Amino acid sequence: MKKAENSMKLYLPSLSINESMARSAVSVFIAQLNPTIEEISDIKCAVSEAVTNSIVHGYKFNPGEIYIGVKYFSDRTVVIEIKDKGCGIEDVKLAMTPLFTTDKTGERSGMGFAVMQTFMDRLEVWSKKDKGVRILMEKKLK
Amino acid sequence: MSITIEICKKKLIFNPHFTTEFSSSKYYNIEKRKVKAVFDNENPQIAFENGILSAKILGDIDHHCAKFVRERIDSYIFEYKPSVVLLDLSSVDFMDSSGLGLILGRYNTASEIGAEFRICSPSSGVKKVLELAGIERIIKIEGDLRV
Ligand SMILES: Nc1ncnc2c1ncn2[C@@H]1O[C@H](COP(=O)(O)OP(=O)(O)OP(=O)(O)O)[C@@H](O)[C@H]1O
Ligand SMILES: [Mg+2]
Repeated sequence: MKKAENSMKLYLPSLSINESMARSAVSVFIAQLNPTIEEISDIKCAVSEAVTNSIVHGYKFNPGEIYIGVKYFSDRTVVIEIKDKGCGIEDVKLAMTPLFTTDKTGERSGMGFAVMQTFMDRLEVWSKKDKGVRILMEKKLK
Repeated sequence: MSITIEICKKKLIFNPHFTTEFSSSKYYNIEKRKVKAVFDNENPQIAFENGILSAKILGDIDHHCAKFVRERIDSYIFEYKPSVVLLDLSSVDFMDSSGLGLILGRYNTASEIGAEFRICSPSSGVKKVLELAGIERIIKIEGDLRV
């Protein structure tokens, strides 16, 4: 693997108020690559989805830590890694199905993974029950 | 070389260049404004006229502010029993899937009292999320009422 040109690591407590902090910090960091407005907006949305999932589903509003790592390479590929140590996902494939949600309040659409998948070029999710979730997303900027 | 930001644990290893860039950036200002809007009891701005209840959401729609916006709109819907509920997105620059939940949830509340539900003026970024979920198949999206 090539060496990253620049990288950033961010550790955040799983508070919902940090959702905007997370996506803003990532967007300011990748602004160094002079992305288009659409690229920034896509990446902010994907980060917001992953971080919100960690807070809502992973930690179920209990205190925990969320890790966000961002790297970019000379070919303008941005790689974002997001990890939590929450309850994990038993069936990742099922969870990633559009409209699938375990939410019972009727206020979630089950479209978070679909957003990440559509707005980024590559999405990989690793998880096991009680072992947290690790997400890797990649987007090549124009 | 990497920049490590730790919130709450006070282990801040900031690149000075990054710090200035971050604090002066427009993104940061948007977030500050948003937090204020959430707590000053004005988001969303509600207007009621000719049976139309319009709710103008200010700032980003994410999971954090969705709860407050949802409760405020629902309480007005039940209080005013409008015939049309209009969700004005002209001041929303960012929305994630929490916004989809918010919209579908308000559509359900409006349907409960027999009101028609519409959305208007989504930005291009917001429109992209709405289209991904196929919202326009269920809910009428009015064009750009932005000034
Ligand atoms: N970090 C996580 N930890 C544990 N479970 C998760 C995590 N992320 C996702 N899930 C599970 O995967 C499901 C689907 O996630 P997705 O983001 O697609 O939809 P949602 O969060 O339920 O709804 P939406 O994102 O539209 O508000 C969730 O309902 C949850 O059960
Ligand atoms: Mg989600």
